[in-house]
Amino acid sequence: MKKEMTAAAGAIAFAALAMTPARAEVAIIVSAHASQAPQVAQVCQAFLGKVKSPTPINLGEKNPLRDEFFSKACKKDPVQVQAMWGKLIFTGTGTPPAEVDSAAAMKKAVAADPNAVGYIDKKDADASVKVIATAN
Amino acid sequence: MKKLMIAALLSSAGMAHADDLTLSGFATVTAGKAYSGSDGEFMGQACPCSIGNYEHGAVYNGNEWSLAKESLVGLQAKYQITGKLSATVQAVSRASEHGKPEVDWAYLSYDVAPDTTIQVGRRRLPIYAYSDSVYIGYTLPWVRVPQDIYGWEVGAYNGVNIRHSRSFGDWAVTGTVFAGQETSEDNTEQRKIFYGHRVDDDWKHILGGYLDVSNEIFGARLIYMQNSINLSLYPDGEEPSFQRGTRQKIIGISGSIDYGNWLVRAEANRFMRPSLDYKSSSFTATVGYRIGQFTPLVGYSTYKEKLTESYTATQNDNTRFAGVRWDFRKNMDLKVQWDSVKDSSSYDFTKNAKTFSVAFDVLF
Repeated sequence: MKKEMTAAAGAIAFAALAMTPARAEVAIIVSAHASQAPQVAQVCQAFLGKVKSPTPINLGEKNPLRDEFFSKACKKDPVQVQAMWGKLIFTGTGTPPAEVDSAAAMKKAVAADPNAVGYIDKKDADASVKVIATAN
Repeated sequence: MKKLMIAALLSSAGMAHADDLTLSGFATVTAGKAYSGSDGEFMGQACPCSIGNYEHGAVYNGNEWSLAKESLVGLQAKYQITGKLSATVQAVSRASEHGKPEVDWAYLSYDVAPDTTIQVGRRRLPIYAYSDSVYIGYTLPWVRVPQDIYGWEVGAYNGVNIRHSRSFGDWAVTGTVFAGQETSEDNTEQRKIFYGHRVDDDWKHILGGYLDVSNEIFGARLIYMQNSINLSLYPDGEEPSFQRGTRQKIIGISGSIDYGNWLVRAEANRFMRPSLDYKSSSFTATVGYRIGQFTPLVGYSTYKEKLTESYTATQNDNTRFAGVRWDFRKNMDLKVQWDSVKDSSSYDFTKNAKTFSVAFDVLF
């Protein structure tokens, strides 16, 4: 049992080391009706709770694009992001972004709010949203 | 957390925002042992002695492993009253206080503008870069914040703060001003670390401000704070004595770097109490390097009091430390840390000791 766990832990550690997610091209999107296009730096600041505008919309944690967005656009790994959000929650200095669970829901939420910003796989982009940057 | 996100989504999508209660929490289980230092006694305890937490008077001692010094669990309830107004209460139950829950935070938060928030109530006193998150182990790279610098006896205050955040290109800037006071009857740290008897330690007229700037890689913070201190000392079997209106000024600077797999944290502070001819300076620095789920780190911290004609009972400590954080599961980590404290105070303080600690942190 113990051996198995050690082996599993080792395998997970190895996988984390070896895995360089490079599947999708992440497109940062705003509503087609948005008059402003925030810079990528500002988008990351909003997703990490450093500023409150624009309004970030996040994908659920099971969606692999979420980790890709944070690592490619904001240079943060999931643990760093989780630690930053934990700090926001328990020190009352902000709230983590709202979550949706699909690209379709993401587009709908972003399209409905001219101040919102989100991200999708670039191939899912349509006329309801405007791609303001891509990250590879 | 999930509920909160759904609520936030509803509000951002322009739908009706229902009243909403969110419960969340955090816990840390720390096992520690002081060993291989000076023998003798510190505050009636057999040494080697090593202070795991000044604020709550937690001292590892006597070559024994203990889970009862720094372990804690915190529960937070946040009630979103309207889209802009929320009420938050956080209670923390600490092994060092025999589990008796303490209200560390209780405040109302109101967004007066999209990027400006006013908070009224009980909050952590933001003297240090990690003052707010000292007890949220998961958010820290160490088993504990370096105690040479974070060892102040008043950690919370009742008052008001105004925070404004703004983006300037690559940089995010947050400015905060705060004011308030704290009364601590029979202060835990004063009793358990310094005096061994009841000391009422009140910090009045607290007024301060700090500025946080950060980009993707660098972060920096500057703080200034002033207050006045009323100390009431009640030595056993003696007449009490009182020191009223001691003015104090605090300045602090801190910086962080997260570059690739490297992390650097550094902080320096200066405390001044001119009427007592008292000046202390503290400094700490940590360098770490992430390797997959593991983050080994090494660091140093020091606290020095200036010897003057009228202030002679100086405390002087420094600590070297090394540790590893293992992020083995989402929202959980395991840490091990080794500390070596050198105490060269001019009076009998903890003296030298080494400490080995193992900690488990979780957010829920």
